[in-house]
Amino acid sequence: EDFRMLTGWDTSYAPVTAVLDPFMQRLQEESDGNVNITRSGPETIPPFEQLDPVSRGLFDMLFTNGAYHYNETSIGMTLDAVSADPTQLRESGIWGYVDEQYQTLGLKLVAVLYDMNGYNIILKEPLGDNALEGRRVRGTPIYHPLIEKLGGAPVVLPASEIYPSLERGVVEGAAWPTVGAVGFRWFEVADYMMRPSFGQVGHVVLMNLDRWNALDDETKELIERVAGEFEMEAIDIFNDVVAKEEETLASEGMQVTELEGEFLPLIGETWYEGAMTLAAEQNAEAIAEVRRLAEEAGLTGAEGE
Amino acid sequence: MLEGIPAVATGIGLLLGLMMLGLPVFIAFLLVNLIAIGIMLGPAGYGMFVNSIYETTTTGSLVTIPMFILMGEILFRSNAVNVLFHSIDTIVGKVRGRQYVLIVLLATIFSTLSGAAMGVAAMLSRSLLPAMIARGYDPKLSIGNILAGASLAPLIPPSVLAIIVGTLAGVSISGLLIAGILPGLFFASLFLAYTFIRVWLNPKLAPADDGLVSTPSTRDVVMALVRLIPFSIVILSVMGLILMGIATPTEAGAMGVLGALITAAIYRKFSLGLIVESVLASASISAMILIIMATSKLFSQLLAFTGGATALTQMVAGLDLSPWLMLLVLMGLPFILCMFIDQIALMLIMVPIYIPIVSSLGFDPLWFWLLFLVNITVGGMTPPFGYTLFAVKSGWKEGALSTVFSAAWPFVLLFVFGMVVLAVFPAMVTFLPSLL
Amino acid sequence: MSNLTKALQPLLRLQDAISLVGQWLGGLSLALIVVIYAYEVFVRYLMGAPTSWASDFVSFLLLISVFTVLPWLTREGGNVAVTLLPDYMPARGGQLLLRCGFVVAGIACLWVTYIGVQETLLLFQRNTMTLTTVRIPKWPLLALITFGLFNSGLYFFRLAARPNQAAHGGIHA
Ligand code: NA
Ligand code: NA
Repeated sequence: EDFRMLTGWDTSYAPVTAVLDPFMQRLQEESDGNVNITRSGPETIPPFEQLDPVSRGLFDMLFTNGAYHYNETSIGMTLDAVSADPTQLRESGIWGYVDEQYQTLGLKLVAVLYDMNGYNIILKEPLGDNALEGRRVRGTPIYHPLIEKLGGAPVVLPASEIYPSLERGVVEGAAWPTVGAVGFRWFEVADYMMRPSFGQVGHVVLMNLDRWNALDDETKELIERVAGEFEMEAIDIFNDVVAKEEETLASEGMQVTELEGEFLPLIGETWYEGAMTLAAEQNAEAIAEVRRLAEEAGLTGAEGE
Repeated sequence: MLEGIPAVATGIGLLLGLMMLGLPVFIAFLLVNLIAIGIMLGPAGYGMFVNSIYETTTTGSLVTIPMFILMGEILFRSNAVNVLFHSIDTIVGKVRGRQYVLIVLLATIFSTLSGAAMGVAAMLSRSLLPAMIARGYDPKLSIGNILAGASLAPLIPPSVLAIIVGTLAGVSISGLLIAGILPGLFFASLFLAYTFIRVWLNPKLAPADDGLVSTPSTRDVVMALVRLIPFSIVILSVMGLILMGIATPTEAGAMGVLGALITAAIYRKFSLGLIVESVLASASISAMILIIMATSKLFSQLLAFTGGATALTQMVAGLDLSPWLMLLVLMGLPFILCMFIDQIALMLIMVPIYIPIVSSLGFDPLWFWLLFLVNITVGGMTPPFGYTLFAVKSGWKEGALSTVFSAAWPFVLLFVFGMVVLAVFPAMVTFLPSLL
Repeated sequence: MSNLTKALQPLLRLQDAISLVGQWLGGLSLALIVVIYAYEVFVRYLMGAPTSWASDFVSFLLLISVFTVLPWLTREGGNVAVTLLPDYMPARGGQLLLRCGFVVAGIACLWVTYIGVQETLLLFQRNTMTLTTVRIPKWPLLALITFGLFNSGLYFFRLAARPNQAAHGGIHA
């Protein structure tokens, strides 16, 4: 069977070629060529409009991040809030619950491919005694609570304006997944990256529900098995990608600036609370349920876990 | 279902046919999109249809288009353009055709600041062009210089297109921008040389200098410079705010509008009437441009959806030709396609496919991608389809699009000639970055 | 025909009034963009306190300015068209071609209306918000796009009926 996959990123975002392509290839091999996937990117549908065409069956599959469609459902954002590897995610029941929620929109959750290295903030100057005090930092709403907690002022700018804004100093920093500074060449205009990073980046693979239901049981089982295996392998691939990126960044003169002191223990919790609170603005009941599951399993990122 | 290269050919053919029948450009796009959605996608494509229009018309960076047009409207109504001409007359003196230098310069400066050749082309054809024509300058030569100057924008920072090419192709963005300096100057001098040769061959293309003080006194020159100050406020408020990192290029456009209002006040033209007339006129012109962009964006998405643009690129990339012929086809394809496909969508489709060929052919990446960058901008001013062409027409109410088209051709040829020179002498591109 | 035209007069005048108000709203949107950006630059650079809403509102205003202005623009024959062929043809033939083009344009706009209404209702039912920092319901923006194109479509039909009305309109005459 042929599947059309839509991706939220073009190939300059390394995970498309480094993680998604091997996953597609694995499905194809293990199905003896029965599952064939071709992908198209944001030139076909802009990143923030992609959920709808997949749930309507214009495309069969989607590779994206939960925050890219939180105006339709914020359930995918919770995947970035929790601190869990794929096994914990499944064991805690969160994976199943998120799948259930996506199914109400006509989508089947196929896989959650985690970059456990999460998010970071790149900076023009190293952190000061008071973390980000007085600095303007670009970030989407999910980052705002954390930027504010660290004393910074969040600035709303489209991703395309990050490079020139850092270059000219419109902003002094920008929040983004740890993967990205190489592809977008921000090392040309910023010299520091804040560590530790925070959260984890959930790349979800979704399938149109009708398409899924129409598959024979054998294919469904195959896809579920391969996805389950690949979720764990993806973590290592992402770690390799990040390690390579950090190497490149170091050779381009980018340095790590460590967050220390009173701010350090606040990050995990602030990130979790911030992401969950934002998500709850869209789907209050569903998010309350994910919170309950996460707290039960101790996946909230709070200090002392 | 129509797929691949035939789908692209059908779509473009239908589009051209509808446009040639005299349908409004945005309607031609709309109709092809509707037919494509009706045939290929059905109701599942409806969301894609409306969301594409929504997405384009809420794109923050496109706000520079109305902002720069508004700036031009205010300057135009506050007599700034005449003051500018007069000062140039006094300072430069009797150089026949001197205002062509002004127009190409302003086109380059403003479009590089705005990052949107469309906004600036519309602005200058509303404000500067009528003044040029009124003074006896040749409409076509003036329009050609506006188009050409505006098309230099991606070579000069700030440049959104350079950032995108750098990101997709993995080449240094700052390197690309430095590499663009010499070619930029080279193109500018090509345009000026062409213009002055034309004026020299046919003096009627520029007005005679009756009534101009032959040798202005020092006092005249000083006064002329002083009178330029208010106008400089506008350029400085835009450029300064961007360079000092106070405002993004988009915001700087709005600040330029404030600068223009100050200029109007200094020239004692400031009034509520001026503001009302200016915003109404700007809203109309920017709507003309943005509705075309919105509908053509969806056309690009549909072409991407059929896989045809990718197939075409892969076909060209798979050709087995000598490096020079390869360069020719690798550049020829985007030159033609960018007449119909949105520049950014085009880059997303083509750049990843081109990367391996560029390295296997042993081309210098900076050199290749700089040529690519020039190439896709020139597409915007090559008839019969180009955003910059339509923008000029939107601003120039009195004129005909056919005049704009014939004004564009010589400058398109100059660009092509310039690119050939850059291709033959790659050092013009690679020399400055090599000093880094 | 002339009776029909007479009967339609009040409706046409109403349409013109609505569209003229739209034109003014579009201008007002641009003025607001200038004010909002100036405010944003001021508070971000001088006060170090950027707003979270400026860029969102500006992007909404851009959409508003386009689709409030479009109908009046169409009424005035202001849309860019490549009229090489109609201009080249004998006067009557060219005129006929243009009028056919306006009918086609009107139909295209009605087709968009058909799609736009369904999508707007869908967003309304789903209560879809905009994907911005300041979230507002998305359906009113889609409704405006739909209305702007619908109203322009009606003007295309009027242009087809009386093409000369447009030729001398000129937005700023
Ligand atoms: Na530029
Ligand atoms: Na063109």
